[in-house]
Amino acid sequence: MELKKIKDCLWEIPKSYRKGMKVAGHVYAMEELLPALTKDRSLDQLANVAMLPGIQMAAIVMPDAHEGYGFPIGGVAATRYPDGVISPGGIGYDINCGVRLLRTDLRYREVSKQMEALSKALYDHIPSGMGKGGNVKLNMKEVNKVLRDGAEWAITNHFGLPHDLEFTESQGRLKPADHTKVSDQAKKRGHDQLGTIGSGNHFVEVDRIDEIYDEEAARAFGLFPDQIVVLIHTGSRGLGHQVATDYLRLMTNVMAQYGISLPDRELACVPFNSIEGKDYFGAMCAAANFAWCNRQVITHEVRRALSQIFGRSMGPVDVVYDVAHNIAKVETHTIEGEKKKVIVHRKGATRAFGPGFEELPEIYRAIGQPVFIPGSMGTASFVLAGTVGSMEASFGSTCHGAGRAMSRRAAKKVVDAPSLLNELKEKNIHIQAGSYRGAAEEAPVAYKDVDLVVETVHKAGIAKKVARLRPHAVIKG
Amino acid sequence: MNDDLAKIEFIGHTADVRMQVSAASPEEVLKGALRGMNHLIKPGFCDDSSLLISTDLRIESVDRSALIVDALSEILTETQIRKVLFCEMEIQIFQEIQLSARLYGRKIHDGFDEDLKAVTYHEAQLRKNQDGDWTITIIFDI
Repeated sequence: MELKKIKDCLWEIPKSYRKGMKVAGHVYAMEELLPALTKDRSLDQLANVAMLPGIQMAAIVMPDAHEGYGFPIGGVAATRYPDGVISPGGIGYDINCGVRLLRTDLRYREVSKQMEALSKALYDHIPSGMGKGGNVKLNMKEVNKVLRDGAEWAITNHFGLPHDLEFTESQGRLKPADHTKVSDQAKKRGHDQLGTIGSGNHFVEVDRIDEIYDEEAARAFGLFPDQIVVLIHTGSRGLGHQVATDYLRLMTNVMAQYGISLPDRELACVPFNSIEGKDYFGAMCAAANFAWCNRQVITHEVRRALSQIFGRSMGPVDVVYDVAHNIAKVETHTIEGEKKKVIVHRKGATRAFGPGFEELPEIYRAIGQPVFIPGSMGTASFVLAGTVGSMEASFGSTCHGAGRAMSRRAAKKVVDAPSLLNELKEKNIHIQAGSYRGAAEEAPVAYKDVDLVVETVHKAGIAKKVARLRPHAVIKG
Repeated sequence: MNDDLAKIEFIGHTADVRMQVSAASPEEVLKGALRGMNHLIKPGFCDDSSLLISTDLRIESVDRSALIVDALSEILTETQIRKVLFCEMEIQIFQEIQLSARLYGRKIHDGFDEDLKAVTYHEAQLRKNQDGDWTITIIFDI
């Protein structure tokens, strides 16, 4: 595939590349990242996304993109509202997978010797791993309340502080949520999973801020050098997986009735304003609410673990922000000079709204929305801020992580997990993983260079660097 | 991973698991795909023959490729909810858009080895290969 350079860090797959493409493909990448992007099916999948009915401006992938199933991971697609399509594959199975950052008043230099104890306390407080439930068991009536109220349910039930909601995207609750559109099977999968991180690339990580790039933004976000912060990365767990499975199956069966034919069933979609489209959106919003509630309950457990190690006098543990990177939202964007409502699908891409966005807490409004880019365990993570550029070029979106470069199987073959964990421990990075296998799969070597990914979005102007974080305790499933 | 009735290969995928199953008939492809999925969730668990739990599976889909994906999805859902691995499948009807089968399994008490989120339609196309066998590729989201 030949990519046409539009400007630094931005490449185009022309609309003429494949019959049926309705818009061009836009690829954000520094030249060093192109080999990884072109070695798997990411860009081929992007060309398929460009065929979605009602797609606007361009199908976009971020520099952390990699091959998915249907949509590439790291993709953004906006469709016309209300008759453009909504596609569950454009959101992914882990609905509202996202990242929350907590800040403390602790300095790393004061607490560095307690990182191992903290990692163990976090591991004890936060259930992780496979096929296991958590400490919060809900009956169906309570599941429905979580699906309706999102993070508010957690606050009402003493899993957090009221002001946590102000610092959560959409205040942790999407009002179009409709729990009656979520299957009983989905509710059964999720009823014991609140407060759990699951497996794969999900984690809770304690970091130290080792570099500030933008002092004004860092000050607004309450961040300072050497500060201890905590990143939480997880989503809607089995409940969201089942919602996606249910509606992909439904849409596969009915999309022909809407005259929709696509090269890949995993892109199955229906018009947003169809009965099936409305039902899916109601269910997806409900699953998104479950995910925000999940990260809120985990926040409560992180506070308890921190308090256990450092005592109650350690000061406040505040939410900096919480943002989704697998979601669809109805938003207004300027396209070819005209303001239009669109359905923005973000699959492995983070909302990155620029300064002036009304939903943001007042103290962030002049800066832009906080964005968190986790690296891999052992490498840096980043705090960014949304920009005017992201609003103009990428539907207010940016990257979401380092991006996998190596399959899990390949990683397991090349990584000796015990040695890796020892090497990290020598750097005062303490890993608590459910298994050696899981640790090997998530080794830094399996990921792209997060520095290059972040440099790409910074140079392209679709986010700006605020701070860099270094891990010291990592809890993985 | 091969057995007498199906060839089951796990092929590279950047983030997820790509499995290719080949067998003499579509029915054996489906059964092989189930064995492959179970192997991912809990390797060796189905070697034990004491299958005490049974359940019925009835599915309708747009074609046989979707039928295989939908069947695996349904079984995965049951596995996730009931923590039961369904090791054997007795197929009663397997037509173009309809499947009826009875599943036999047993309870997992010590968690899964792999948490499969979902079975995807991506690349899932049942077809005959050059050797005359039926084959399908299944990508699991993990």
